[in-house]
Amino acid sequence: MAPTHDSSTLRDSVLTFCRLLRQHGYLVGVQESIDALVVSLSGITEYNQFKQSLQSMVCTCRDEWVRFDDLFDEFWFTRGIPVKKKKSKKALASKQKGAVPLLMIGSSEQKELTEEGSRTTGAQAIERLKKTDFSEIPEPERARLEALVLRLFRQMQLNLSRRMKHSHRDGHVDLRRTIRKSLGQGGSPVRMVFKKRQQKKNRLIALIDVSGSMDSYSYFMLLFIYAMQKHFEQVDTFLFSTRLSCVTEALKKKRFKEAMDVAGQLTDAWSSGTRIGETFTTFIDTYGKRLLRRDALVFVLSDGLDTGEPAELASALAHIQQRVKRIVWLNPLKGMKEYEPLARGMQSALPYIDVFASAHNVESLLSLEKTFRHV
Amino acid sequence: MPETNADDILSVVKGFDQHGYVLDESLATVSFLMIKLRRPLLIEGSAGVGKTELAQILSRYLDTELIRLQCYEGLDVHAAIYEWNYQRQLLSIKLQEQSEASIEEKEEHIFSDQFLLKRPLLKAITKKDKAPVLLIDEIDRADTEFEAFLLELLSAFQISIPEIGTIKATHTPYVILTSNGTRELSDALRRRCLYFWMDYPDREKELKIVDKHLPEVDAQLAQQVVDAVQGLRSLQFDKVPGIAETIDWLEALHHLGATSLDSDLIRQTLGCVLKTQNDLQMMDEQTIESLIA
Repeated sequence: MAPTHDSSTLRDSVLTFCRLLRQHGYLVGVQESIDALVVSLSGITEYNQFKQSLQSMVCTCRDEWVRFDDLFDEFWFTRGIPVKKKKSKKALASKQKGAVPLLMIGSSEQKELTEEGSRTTGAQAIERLKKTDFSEIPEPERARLEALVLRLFRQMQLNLSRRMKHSHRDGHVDLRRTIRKSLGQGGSPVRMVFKKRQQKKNRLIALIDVSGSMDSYSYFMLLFIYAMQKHFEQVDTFLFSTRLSCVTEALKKKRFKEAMDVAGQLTDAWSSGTRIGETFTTFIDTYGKRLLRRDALVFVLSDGLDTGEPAELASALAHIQQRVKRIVWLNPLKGMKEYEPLARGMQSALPYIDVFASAHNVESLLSLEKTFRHV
Repeated sequence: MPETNADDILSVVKGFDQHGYVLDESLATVSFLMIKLRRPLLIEGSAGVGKTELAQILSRYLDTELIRLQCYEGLDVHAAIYEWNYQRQLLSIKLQEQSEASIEEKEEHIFSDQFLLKRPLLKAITKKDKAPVLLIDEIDRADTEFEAFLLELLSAFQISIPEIGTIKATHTPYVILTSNGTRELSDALRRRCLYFWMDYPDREKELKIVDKHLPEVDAQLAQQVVDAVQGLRSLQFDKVPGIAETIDWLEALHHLGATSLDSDLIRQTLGCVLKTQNDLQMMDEQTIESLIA
């Protein structure tokens, strides 16, 4: 069954449908519209084939692919002039609601699907978001911040991987450049050009405090670790509060939401008290032999508000410090103006920490680039 | 187009069927469009759903060469597009030392065609007789910089080489890109391609596929194995078994002389389907029993 037999009506319908898709956030430009027209005129007349053709033309990712079916059926069955329908957005939002049991944040419940206009975000707004403390970000902004953060973190990780490549005087001979240079000297390779292997990547161990006081910070820290995974040879991630859970595998999921879902199921102790020393000792006993090596960088994210024994924390940290390259302690409270590390836990930890930094907003996380580069 | 006999979607399905690939309607439609419009096709989906095989069968169906570029982190222009044959160039420079030719002539000589080593992408667009199938496998593993190179190729089907100039495609190749989604691809690249999301096959399709590959196997056993794998896919494994695993498993069972699946057999042959320690540990008695039921 052809959607219609009259070709000019068909053309109008296809274009209207393209507009509808655009309203639903699809990136349908002029080229895509033309493509869609080509399909409609190419003699494909069977309903399903027509649908599938358009689907492959205008969709650019799985999400769009999945939503396409309903949009198409709704449009071509009713054939009315499409008004901007809210229905499918709501359906999508409620679907997400069901899929996110976890994190403290519940960010996705409030997440409204961005309209097409918001693909371009004002530079000022971005700057402002970058400086805002994680715990003070208003719910509606959170989804936008997440997307932005993921992009910035990926960019940072790309910067890092680029910066390692260039070198001058060691490594292999770069024959290509050598010959190019030698032309001026009659072909004798007087000056050799070298290129160096990319540096061996480090491993990262992240220990993230998920007790009540740390809620929003740990969420963004996880997002950060998630985005930085490629920069490291291997990343092992642990969440702790009163207990320790390993979420390494969960973070390897392709989508961050998915990763958080799995991580949430693994952790039963979200948001209760903290016994840092005890959980660190557990970490050393269970994973220490395998993970604590000289090429590892240890990230601890915690405010150091420990309900356990400070001495235990100190000895655990001493043990870790002897075995790894560097310990970086990120304390979101450090972002506050008058903060001094007075908490007992923090006090006993300080002597064993190589870098003590804050992690309370996007900017502070981005400034960690230095720490990554100098390892 | 005399090169193809793909007149309509049905003939594409039949053609693939003859080469042992089960096409469902939606994939057939997309393949048809790709052949007709010569637009690159981006296929995403989990590992082991038959993305790469589609390209192989397509090349057999179109009776043309398959040129494959396997992407990896750090893949650069010299491994993907072209490289100069440095040893020969050096030699040639030495040989020309005494000649009267000017520097410009010498340079032109050593950057001529005979010193150019063609890598897959260049090979694909300079193929003389007919359009090849170009498979760019696991594009998500390559760096973002490499994606940028691909853009020029995929939109204009031409490649610029600084020393020579721009080389235009003699025949527009049929391009298939695959991605496992380990990295987000750029919008620009996505928009240049037809898109297809390939999922694990449903029971009917998987039965057909199994039958194509192992026609000699007992039908009842095949059904049980397919049902079991379909069941396994719904569990949370690190490495979800793909179609290749189904076929491996069935073949193993067949060689063991099995005609129907029982828990002992499953335990003995589980290594064919589950490939990590973690996943194997997840398979307790109860789960195994549920697979047979």
